[in-house]
Amino acid sequence: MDESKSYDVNFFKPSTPFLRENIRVIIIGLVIWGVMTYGSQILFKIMETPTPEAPYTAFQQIAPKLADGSATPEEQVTAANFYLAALGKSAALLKNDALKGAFTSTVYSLLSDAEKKTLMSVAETAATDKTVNVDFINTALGITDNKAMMAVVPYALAPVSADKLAMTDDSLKPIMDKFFIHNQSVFTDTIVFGFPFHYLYTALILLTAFVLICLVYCQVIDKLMKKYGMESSYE
Amino acid sequence: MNRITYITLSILVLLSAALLVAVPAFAASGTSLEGSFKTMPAIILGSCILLFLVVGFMNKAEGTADFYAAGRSISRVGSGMAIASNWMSAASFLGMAAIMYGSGYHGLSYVVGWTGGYCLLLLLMASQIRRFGKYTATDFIGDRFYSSGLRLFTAVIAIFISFCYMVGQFGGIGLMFKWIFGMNYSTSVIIGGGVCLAYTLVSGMLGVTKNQIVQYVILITAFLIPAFILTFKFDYFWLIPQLGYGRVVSDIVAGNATPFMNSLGHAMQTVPQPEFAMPWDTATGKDFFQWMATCFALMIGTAGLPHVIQKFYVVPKPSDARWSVTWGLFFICLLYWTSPLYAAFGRILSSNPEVGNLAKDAIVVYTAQLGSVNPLIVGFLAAGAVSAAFSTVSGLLVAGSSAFSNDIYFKLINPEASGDQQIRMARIATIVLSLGVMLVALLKLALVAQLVALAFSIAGCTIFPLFLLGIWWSRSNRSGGIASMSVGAGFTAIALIYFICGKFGVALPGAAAVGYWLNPWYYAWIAAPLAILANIFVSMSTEDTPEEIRKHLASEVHGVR
Repeated sequence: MDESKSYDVNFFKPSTPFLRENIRVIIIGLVIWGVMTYGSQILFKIMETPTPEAPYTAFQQIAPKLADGSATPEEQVTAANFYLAALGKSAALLKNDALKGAFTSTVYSLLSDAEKKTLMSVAETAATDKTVNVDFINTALGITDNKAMMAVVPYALAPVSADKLAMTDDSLKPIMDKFFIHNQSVFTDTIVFGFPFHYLYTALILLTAFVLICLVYCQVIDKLMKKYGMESSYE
Repeated sequence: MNRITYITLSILVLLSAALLVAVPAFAASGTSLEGSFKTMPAIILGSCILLFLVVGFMNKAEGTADFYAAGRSISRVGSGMAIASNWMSAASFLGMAAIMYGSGYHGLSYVVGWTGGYCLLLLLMASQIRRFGKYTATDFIGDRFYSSGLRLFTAVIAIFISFCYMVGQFGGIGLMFKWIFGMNYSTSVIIGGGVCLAYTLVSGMLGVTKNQIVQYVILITAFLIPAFILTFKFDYFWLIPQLGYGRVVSDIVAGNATPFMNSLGHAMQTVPQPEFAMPWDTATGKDFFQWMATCFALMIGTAGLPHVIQKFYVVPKPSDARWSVTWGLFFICLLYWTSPLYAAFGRILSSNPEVGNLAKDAIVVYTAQLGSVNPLIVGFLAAGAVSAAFSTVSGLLVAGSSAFSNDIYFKLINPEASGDQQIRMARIATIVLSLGVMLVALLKLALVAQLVALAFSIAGCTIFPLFLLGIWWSRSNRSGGIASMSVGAGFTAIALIYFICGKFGVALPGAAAVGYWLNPWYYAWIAAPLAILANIFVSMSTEDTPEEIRKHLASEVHGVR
C-alpha cells in the first residue's frame, strides 16, 4: 500500500479497526432511526383503508331518495344531521352555499307549515344575527343534547326560496369524500392512553426513541473512544 | 453559574408573586381574545428582556475567543440547555402547534423532523465536526474543499438561511406584540423587530451561552405551566400532560361531549373530526408523500443548519459535543412532546363557529385564553414566545452579520480592515439584515413554521451534503463540492422563483407540478440526494483531494494513524 492511499476515508470501506467499529455503530443507529421513523409511516400507509365515517355511509344510501323526494322524515333527519356535521367541520365549509342550501332545504321539508314560515324568516335573520332562536330546528333534528351541533345551526342556515328547494346537490360529493373518508387502520383504531395508537407513536414514542438512540450512542461511542485511545488529546 | 441560577430563581419567584397579587384584578378580563393593551403581560415581557440583558452584562465576553469559548466553563447539561434555547424559536413555540391545529397529523412531520434530525447530526457529524476543529460552517467548507469561492458562497447561503429563518421569527414576534399591545400586525412587526434589533445591538457579544440557559428555563416554564393547568382544569390526566391530552385527541375524533366550557361560554366539544388525527387525511390537503418529504427535508436541514453546527465548537471535548446534543435533544423534546397538546386543546376549545377564524400562529396563546387560564400566565406564555424568538434572532443576527464582516468583507473586500472597522461592518450588517427581514415579514407570505422550514430545506440541500461527504469521503474534492453546491442552490432558486411568482399571481409553466414536487418547504427531499450524486460523480472524474487535507481528515477526524 503506498503512502498516500493510507489517508483515504470512505464510509463504506473503513480502513482501521476503530473506524470499522465506529461505522458499524453508526449504521446500526441509523437503521433503527430510519426504520422507526419512516418504516412506521410506511407501515401505517400499507395497512390503511380509506374508511368513510358512519354518517356518510348512511347518507349515501339516502341521497338518491332525497333527490327523487322519496326520503322518509327519519331519513331526512339523518341527512340534515349529516349536513350539519359537515358544516361544523371547518370554517371553509361554513362558506359553502350549496351545502348550506341543502341543509336548510332538508330542515324545511321536515317542519310543519307554521314552522316552515318561521324557518324562512329565521334563515334571513341568521345571515346577520347568529343569536337568533333556532330551538325548533334543534328539536326537529333531535340534537338538543349535542352542544357542538347546536352551535353550528345558526351558521348553517341559508336563505332559500320555496321554489328552489334542493335537498341534495351534485357539487357536494367531492367535498364529502374529502372530509368524511379517512385513512384508518388497526393502528388508528387502537386506543392507548386515550390516543389513537399511531398518533401516540409519532408524537411521543418516536421522540422518546430519538432521545434513547442518542443516549445509547453516546455511551457506546465513549467506550469505543476509550478502547482505541481516541480523543485522549482532549482530556 | 450559581449567581445566574440565583438571579433566575429570584426573578421567577418575583414574577410568580406578581402573578398571585394581581390575580383578582385580572380575573375578569378573560372574555375577549384580542383587544387592547395588556399591562401585566407587557410588564412580564419587559422584565424577561431586562433579565436577559442583566445576565448578559454579568457574563460579558472579553473578545472573540472568549465569546466562542464561553461554553468551556459550562456543564454538558448546561450546554444542552443552550443548544435547546438556541434551537427553539417562534417556529417551535408557536408554529408547530399552528400546523397541527390546521393540518392535523401532517403537523407531526414537523415535530418528528425537527427532533429526529438531531440523531442524524449526532451519529454522522457532531464529534467529527468538533475534531475537525473549525469555528464555523463556512470555515469547515472553505478548508475541507480548499476553495475560497465555495467559502464565499457558503457565507452567502448561511446569511440567506439566517434571513429566511428570521422572517419566520419576526412574524411570530409581530403576532405576540399584536396580542400584548393591541396594535395591528404591521405596526407590531415594525416595533417588535425594532426592539429585537436594539436588544441584539446592546447584547451583541454578551455572555450568550449562559444567557441561553436562562432563556431556556424561562421559555420551557412558560410553555409547560399552561399545559398542566389545562389538563388539570378539564379533568384529564394532568400529572403528565403530555400523555393526558390523549383523551382530548379521542374526544375530537369522536366528537365526545365534555362537561366543560371555554372562556367564551361555548361547550367544549366538536363535531366528530377524525381529520384532526388520521394520517395524511384528504381534508388537510396534505398527502403521504408530503409527510415523508417534509419530515426528511427537516431532518437533513437540522443536520446542516449553520447556527446549529456551530454550537459544537464551543464545547471543550468531542465527547461533550456528543453529550450536549443528547441533552439538547432531551430539552427540546420537553417542548415538542407538549406542543401537540396545544393544538388539540385549541381545536376542541375553538370549535364553536362564533370563535371565528383565529390566527393559527397565535393558537398557543389563544388556547390558553380559551381554556380560562389565568391571564397573567397567558401573558407569561406570550412573553415566553417572544423570548424564544428573541434568543434565536439575536443568535442568527450575530451569526449572519459576522459571516458578512468576517467571511465576505474582511476576507474579500478589505483584507486590511482594522478590528474596529470589522465591528462597524458587523453592526451595519445587523441593521441592514433586520430591516430586510422586517420588510419581508410584513408581506406575510406563509405560516411561521413554513417560513422556517424553507431555511431548513436550503440548509439540507446545500450545506448538509458538503458536510456529509466532506467528513465521510476523502475523495470528495473541490470540483465535487462546487457541483454539489450548484445543484443545491439551483433547486433552491427554482423552488423560490416558483413560490414567489405564485404569491404574486404570475403563472409559470408547470407551476402545479413544481409546487407539489419542489415545494419550498420540502424540496430538499430530492435536491439533497441529487447534490450528493453530483458531488460523487464530479469528484470521481476529477483529480484526488490534496494529501494534506486527506491527512488532516484521516488523522484528526477519524483517528487514522
